[in-house]
Amino acid sequence: MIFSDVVRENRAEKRVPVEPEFWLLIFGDLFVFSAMFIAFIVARFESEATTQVFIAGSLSLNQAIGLSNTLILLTSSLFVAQGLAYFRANQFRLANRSLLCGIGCGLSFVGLKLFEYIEKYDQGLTVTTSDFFGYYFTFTGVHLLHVVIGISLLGFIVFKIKKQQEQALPSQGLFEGVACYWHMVDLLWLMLFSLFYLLN
Amino acid sequence: MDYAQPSILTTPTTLAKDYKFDSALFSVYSAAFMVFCTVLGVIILAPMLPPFGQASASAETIAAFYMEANLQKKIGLCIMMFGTPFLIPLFALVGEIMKRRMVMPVLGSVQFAAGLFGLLFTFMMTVCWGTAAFRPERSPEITQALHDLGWLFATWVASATLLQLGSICVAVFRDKSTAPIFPKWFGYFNMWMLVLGAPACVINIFHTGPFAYDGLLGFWVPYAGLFAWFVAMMLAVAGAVKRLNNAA
Repeated sequence: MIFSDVVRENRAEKRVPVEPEFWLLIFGDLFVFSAMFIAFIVARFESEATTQVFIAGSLSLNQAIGLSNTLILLTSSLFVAQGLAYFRANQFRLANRSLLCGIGCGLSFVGLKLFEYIEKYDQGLTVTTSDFFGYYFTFTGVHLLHVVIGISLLGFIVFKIKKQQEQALPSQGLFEGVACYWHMVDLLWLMLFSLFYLLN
Repeated sequence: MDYAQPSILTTPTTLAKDYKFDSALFSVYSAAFMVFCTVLGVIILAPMLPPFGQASASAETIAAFYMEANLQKKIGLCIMMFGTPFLIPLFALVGEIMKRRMVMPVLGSVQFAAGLFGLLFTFMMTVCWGTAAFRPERSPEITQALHDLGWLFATWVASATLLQLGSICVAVFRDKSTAPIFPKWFGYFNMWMLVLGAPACVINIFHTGPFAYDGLLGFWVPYAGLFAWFVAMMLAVAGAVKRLNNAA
């Protein structure tokens, strides 16, 4: 399988993906999300009453949608990694097909998330209902913004590959950067999923 | 007096190579003076920053805050008001470097205009707090409204600064020359600041929690980012000016 070839190649080569400065952005973003997670934990365990509010909020979330969204994002990460492997092997048509699958997963994530927001809104649960829902809507909203930016970037790469002219091909660095960003979005969702849906 | 007459058949890129930035470091010193005035004015003398718990505080608490050490707050705001425009030279210099040396005229203008626009609301912030401190004995609700208005001008108008960050970021990454004018880390740093500043756009919804104007993502992260960005701007621009003047 082509994917494992790339992994082996990367191990042999021992280089930093994209360029070292790029990781300032990824770790910067992870740093901010870590601060947000710590704020969430602090607010949750402030007193017995706040813990009860957070547990009640967590139980009222739709676990099925949360779990499907987790699986969808993990699958899309796999598609993007596969697409990058095809791109490195100069198989642009297959790379684009993988990326489009990844974008499809991303779009279904956005769709499910919006459905979940509307469902909560219909139940009268909004951002000002309780501390838990304040955190829930804002944190997942910031994450959703990241997903939308990621989908646009993936779409931009698909568009560039589709043009197929030598000079219009995206550089490998750009592709790697977008892929790393997409994996980060995935990682952040795993954290959000465990904090909001599973911690009860 | 002799004029450097460029040849007729010349490209913007060759013209750009001859452009010099003499005495441009004064822009950086001017920005440092603005940061000094901000720290002295609204952090030390008038302790407006950080706003501990003010987004959810009662009108009486805010009024009492303005009543206590009133003259000191007024003097602090005077210093802030005087110092704010000294940031303009730095934005102008970055804009001119982008226009003339990197040959990105529209991006340069966007950078300067967005920077000015963001700065305009920094003036508005100082005016609102200055008005609140002007007659602190008035009914507390009005003082509270002015104080909140000042904070919304200060933080909520982050969108203009976000555009400025975006234009610098695009310029750094589109500079494909062999000796780039700005270092790569500066581009990534601006992109990171974009991420840090974005939550400031929703502070009008919350009174408590991380997104309120005194919360983690409404105050601490964007303002720590803002001051870090001032320092990074000054370092990157000073480095660029030195490189440009040595090369020419």
